[in-house]
Amino acid sequence: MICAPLPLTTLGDDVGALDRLCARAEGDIVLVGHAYAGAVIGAAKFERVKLLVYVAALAPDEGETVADVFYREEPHPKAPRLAPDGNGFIWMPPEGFENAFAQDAASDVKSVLLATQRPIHAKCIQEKVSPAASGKTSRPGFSSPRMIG
Amino acid sequence: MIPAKTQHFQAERMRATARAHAVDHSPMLTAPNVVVDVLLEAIRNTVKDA
Repeated sequence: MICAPLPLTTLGDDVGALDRLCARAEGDIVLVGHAYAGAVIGAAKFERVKLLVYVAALAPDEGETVADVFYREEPHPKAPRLAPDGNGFIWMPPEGFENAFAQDAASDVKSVLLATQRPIHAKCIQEKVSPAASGKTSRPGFSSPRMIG
Repeated sequence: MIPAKTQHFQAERMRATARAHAVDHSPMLTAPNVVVDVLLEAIRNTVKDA
């Protein structure tokens, strides 16, 4: 098991990083994506990928962006307002971890999440998923929707 | 973070097997046993020789 080092600069960059990691793996591959990374695993093109697992994740279809599915429904009242900074990167504010990202976590865990977070560039959520890249038709999907938060 | 309605919509249109649990947005941190169980079930039902 290994965590893919996604640069979080564009969706294409992230898919490229995942495909390079898959090339290093042996045998059948199971990809697990959390949140935004659901879009990345859905777009991975590597042949030996046998299963996609979405954990509280986003799964844009062909021609959709991550933002399209993320903002499909009215956000939860406690969801943080997310906006890119002057360099185009989106950072989770402290109250985001407190109220919406990991509200069930212990306070020290939330502090670590806040301190070690990696910002995501707006391009990641604005880039359309290219045709035949979504996980919808070619492979079995498996989703674990969360119910609260 | 992601409304449950959106997650169910996505799961249905990709014809995924869905498992819903009362967890927050980061269950791998706050409910890791739930995530591991879902992963193991998915792998056993999908990948040969798992």
